[in-house]
Amino acid sequence: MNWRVLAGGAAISVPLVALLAAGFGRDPKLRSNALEGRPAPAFTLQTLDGEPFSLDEARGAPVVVNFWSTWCQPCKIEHPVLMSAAESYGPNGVHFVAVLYQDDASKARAFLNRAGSHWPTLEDPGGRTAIAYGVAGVPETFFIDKTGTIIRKVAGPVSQEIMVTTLEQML
Amino acid sequence: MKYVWILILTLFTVQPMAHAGDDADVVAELAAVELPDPPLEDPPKEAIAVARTERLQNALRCPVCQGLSVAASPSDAARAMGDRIEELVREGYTEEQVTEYFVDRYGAWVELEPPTEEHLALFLAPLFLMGVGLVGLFFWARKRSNHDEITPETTEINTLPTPDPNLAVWRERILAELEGESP
Repeated sequence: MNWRVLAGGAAISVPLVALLAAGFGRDPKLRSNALEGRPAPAFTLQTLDGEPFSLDEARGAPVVVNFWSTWCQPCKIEHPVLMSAAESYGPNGVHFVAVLYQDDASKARAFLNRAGSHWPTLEDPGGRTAIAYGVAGVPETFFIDKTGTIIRKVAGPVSQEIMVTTLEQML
Repeated sequence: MKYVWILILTLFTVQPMAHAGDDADVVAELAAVELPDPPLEDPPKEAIAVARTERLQNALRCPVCQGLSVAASPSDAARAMGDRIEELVREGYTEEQVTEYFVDRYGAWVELEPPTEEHLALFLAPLFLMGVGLVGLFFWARKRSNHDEITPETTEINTLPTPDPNLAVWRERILAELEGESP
């Protein structure tokens, strides 16, 4: 009789605990990486210097697309990582491009004049490009390989380690 | 002289335009984002476009909020998404196409009401489990009531004290005395 009660209890509680364990192991705030493994949405935007920039220009080379804004503190923390990566991997043919997310061009210019940048920063009127990439906050970084496929999306600041391993993988 | 004035006037009117690198309209004109598919329909009538936009803005989730629809959120991100929805609707994209566009980018999460037909098992599972539970409870209760009916007899039989062999002598003596009294 005790064994039957035990088995009954286990039949109910084990799946429940397994379900909760699987559920609690997931960050509910984590957005989907729905675009990983799929072709990067093409866009043509204007840089802060008024030059047009099209993603097609970078076809055939790895591209890092970083969505950021000046009101976002993690973006500022991430900036040096992007700077050193662009310095090291720019000569290897990796394109770096930043897209401004819901911010003023003048503020972005002021920040970049102080902090420096080795890449074009694009204005995204109406946030259409951000929406096309499913951006749900900044910073978000997309690693696009030579074939134009998004191989990785990182929500939040990219660490030096992730940056380097992903870039090495793309070269 | 007349031409000089015209030249000066043109310079003054053209000059601000040349500095308008920041001007949102100019930037917007240049901006282009490729869409995966062409619209399935012709641009809808105004009233239909408004109704569709409203439905979609209420059905899709604001990407930066907690459980709010695009329509319900005052955030910049939600406004941008709301405007994008309206643009797509006015270009002739159907509601399914617009929903798919956002689901492809943000995942199924972006729909406030998850698509029931695709995850029917998920919605039926609790009902099924409740049914199993009720059936189990019914059988358990029945077994228990049967058990209650049987118990008195069984306990009576089982609880009859087994005669103590040490008392056998006394027992016989009492019985003998009783027999002696009876005639």
